[in-house]
Amino acid sequence: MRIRSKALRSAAVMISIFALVACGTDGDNGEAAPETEEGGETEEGGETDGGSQADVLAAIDEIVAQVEAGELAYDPGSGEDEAIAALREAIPQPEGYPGRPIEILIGFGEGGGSDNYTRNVGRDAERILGQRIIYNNMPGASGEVALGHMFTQGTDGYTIASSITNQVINDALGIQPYSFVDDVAFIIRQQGPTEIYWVPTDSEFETFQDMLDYAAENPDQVRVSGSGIGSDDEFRLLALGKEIDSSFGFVPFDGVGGRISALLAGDIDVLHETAGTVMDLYEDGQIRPLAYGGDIVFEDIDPDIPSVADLGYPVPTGRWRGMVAPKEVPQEIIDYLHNVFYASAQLPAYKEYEVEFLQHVAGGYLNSADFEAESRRERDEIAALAEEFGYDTGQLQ
Amino acid sequence: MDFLTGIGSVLEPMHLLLLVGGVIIGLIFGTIPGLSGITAVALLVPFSYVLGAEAAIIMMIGVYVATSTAGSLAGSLFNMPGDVMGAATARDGYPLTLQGQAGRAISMDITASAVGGLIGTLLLVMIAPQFLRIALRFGPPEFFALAILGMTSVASLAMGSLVKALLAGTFGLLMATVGLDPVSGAVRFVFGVQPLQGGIDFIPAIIGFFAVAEIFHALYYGTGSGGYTKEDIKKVPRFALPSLADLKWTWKTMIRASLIGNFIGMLPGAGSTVAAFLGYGTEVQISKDKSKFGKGEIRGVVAPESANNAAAAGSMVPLLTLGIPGGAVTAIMLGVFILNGLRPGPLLFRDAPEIASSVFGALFMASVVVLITGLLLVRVLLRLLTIPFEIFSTMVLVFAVIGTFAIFNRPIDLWIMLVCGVLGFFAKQYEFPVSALVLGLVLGDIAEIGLVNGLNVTRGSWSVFFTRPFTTGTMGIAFVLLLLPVFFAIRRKRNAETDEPVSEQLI
Repeated sequence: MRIRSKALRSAAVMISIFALVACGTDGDNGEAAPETEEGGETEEGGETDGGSQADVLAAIDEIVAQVEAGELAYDPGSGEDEAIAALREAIPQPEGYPGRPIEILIGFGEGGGSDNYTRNVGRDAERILGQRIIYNNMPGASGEVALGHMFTQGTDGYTIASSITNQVINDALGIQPYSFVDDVAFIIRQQGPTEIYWVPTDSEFETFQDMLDYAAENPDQVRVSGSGIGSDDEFRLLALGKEIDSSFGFVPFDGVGGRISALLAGDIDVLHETAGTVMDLYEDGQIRPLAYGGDIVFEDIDPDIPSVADLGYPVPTGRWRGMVAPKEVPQEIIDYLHNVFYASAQLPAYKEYEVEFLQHVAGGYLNSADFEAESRRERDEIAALAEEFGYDTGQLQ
Repeated sequence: MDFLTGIGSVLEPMHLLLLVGGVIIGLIFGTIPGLSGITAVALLVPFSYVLGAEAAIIMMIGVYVATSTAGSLAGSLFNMPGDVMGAATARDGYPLTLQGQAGRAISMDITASAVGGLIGTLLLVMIAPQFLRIALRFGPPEFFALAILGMTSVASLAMGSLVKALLAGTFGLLMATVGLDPVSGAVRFVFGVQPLQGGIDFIPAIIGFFAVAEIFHALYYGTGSGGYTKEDIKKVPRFALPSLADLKWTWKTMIRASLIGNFIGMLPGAGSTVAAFLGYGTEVQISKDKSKFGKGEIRGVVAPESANNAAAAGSMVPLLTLGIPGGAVTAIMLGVFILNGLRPGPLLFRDAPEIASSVFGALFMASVVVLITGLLLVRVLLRLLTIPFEIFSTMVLVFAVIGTFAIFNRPIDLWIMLVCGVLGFFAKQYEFPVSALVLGLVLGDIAEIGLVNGLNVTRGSWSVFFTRPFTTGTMGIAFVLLLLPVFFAIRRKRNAETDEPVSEQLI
């Protein structure tokens, strides 16, 4: 019975594979650690170690100032240096955390904006934590696959996720089985919007106002591109269109590549894109900015170009990035992680990356409470816009 | 960019060592069913910190070129391709293996790959700027037309019944719609399974449809694939060079497929996956005698191989000149550039010309190295066929799980792989061509985004698909390719009426 034994053996293999798969999807329903009540932002974390959150942040700022002044040795290549030792001293640590490596889920592929942010802020965070960070790129559905996976994992603070504006938008549109804003604990927001309205150098639109005037006369005729699937780009345009009693033709492309070639080929008129991504094309003279998408003027690029907010138009949202954890993670750990990432983002390794990608202009830092409040505000505003315009997600009722 | 400087730089001992190392890693990863080039390149990313940009990119190009070749070796040897391009090659490569001509199949595999890579690189150096200008004019409508052109090759993938091929292709298109709608964000066909919102990626699907299904099939019938013995291997010459007759028979195919592949490779988003199918489909459509394809026609091995390697070279153009990655592997390379503080784009050639020329040099040399090491290793590769099925299938399943999971770290991909394995088993049972299904899956996204955004950019006018020069041209070619078989059939019939009856080979 040779065949039979073959079949048996292979059946054993199949079973082990099913087991493997099951381990992956099952997620451990680890005991939810007892939740600290109230979730008070400023007091909670400090109770055990004395000193409030504000004191801790002040201490971090002081250490960073000393690093910048060259008073503390700093070497991102080393395991621990004077700067890191001082920071570890200053940041109160929860009992026994972190006792093992921390996994950060990234909802987008390697080399993209979210990946760059997470890995760069993680470089010094790893040293402060004294534990390795495991980066887990899990792309799909604009970050929702990674977020959905986070909810299946333990709530002990060892699995957190790097998130982006799309999560708030998807929440507003109600297309997920969970609510991002209601179901996560907000750790820290670290990057703000840097999008700019670009046109090809030879575009007929000399100024942003030219573009708006034309769009006001010709609804849907100005074709603007941004990132795909219910993105912040699209809602900015909806708000802008509402203001001028007209609308834009929004053409979403999932990849930066498609957007850029569509602009250069003349298939679209205006590109709404982060500064860092297309800086080379700007310096090469192929595209020029019409207006800054938010409320910040990028002095390095062109101080004479207005920002949309300066022109008096509403900016409902923008592309931010930050860290979140499942709601059940103890407040103590959330505060601790906030402080670690806060400190890491002030250190030279992250600063250099920020400058290179022009993220330093936008700032965007919000602490846990403000991050949550701002996300709520964004969700409400977007939900209102979506309702007003009958934004169709095709969701079956 | 100076091509010769680039070759010089690659020939530096350290760089050459890394290139050869990369090629060997690539050949190993590519040949093992279940593992793909993307996995190999992704695993190398951490080393780029240590190696520095230039060395890391040279090594990655070695891996990239080698896996483009070796992915199809697994297709030819076991009918278990690790990547889409291998799925096209397996159509004719695997029947050759079953006929005991595995040595012939893989030596031509390797040769055609190298030729494709070399032609691709030379085209790149000489006429890349002109090509790029055309490629840049490719907007959404052009991509839609391209996808339509690709779909005409469904017919060439039929195994007997054209209807079954169409059904399989349509099912593939349907699978491509699973997940969030790329334009409106609507949730489609996920049946409440949240992770499915990310859609069905074709790597897990292919590993399931081919590798896993092949194992189920062998289990069901109690037969392992190939069934080669040590004696069979000994019959193959130590260094299996391709025969002159084969080269003479296929050189035109190689050049044709390389040209097609190179151009398709330059289109951001299309990449080598589409190139291989188009290379194969075109070859079948223009050949007068289609009946041999799918049964071990050596030109069916050569065409997708040359096309996908030429496409690998082509995909460097949008990456280097615009910073636009054309596929998964080039996206990872873009990440490596960025990690090392280099920003591919129009200014790369000004700011870091040595990197650009190294890329071109490395592409050229990698093809040469693949040719040499590949042909030297033919006998070693064939020895894989002698591994007992029990051991082999266990290994493959393990690698299939690892390889599938390692790409996106998503547990759902493992389920997709398993379900596709079961589907693939029944498809094989009832003679539905799985490669047509995969083609539908690959082209579905491109076609959908092309169509919807095409209508978006033209504000809802359908005429754009027939009035822009490239859409008209591409649609025209698709139309001709569709009608060509009919034309041949009619001519044959007329010949049959006037002359002696000729055996009917077409439906």
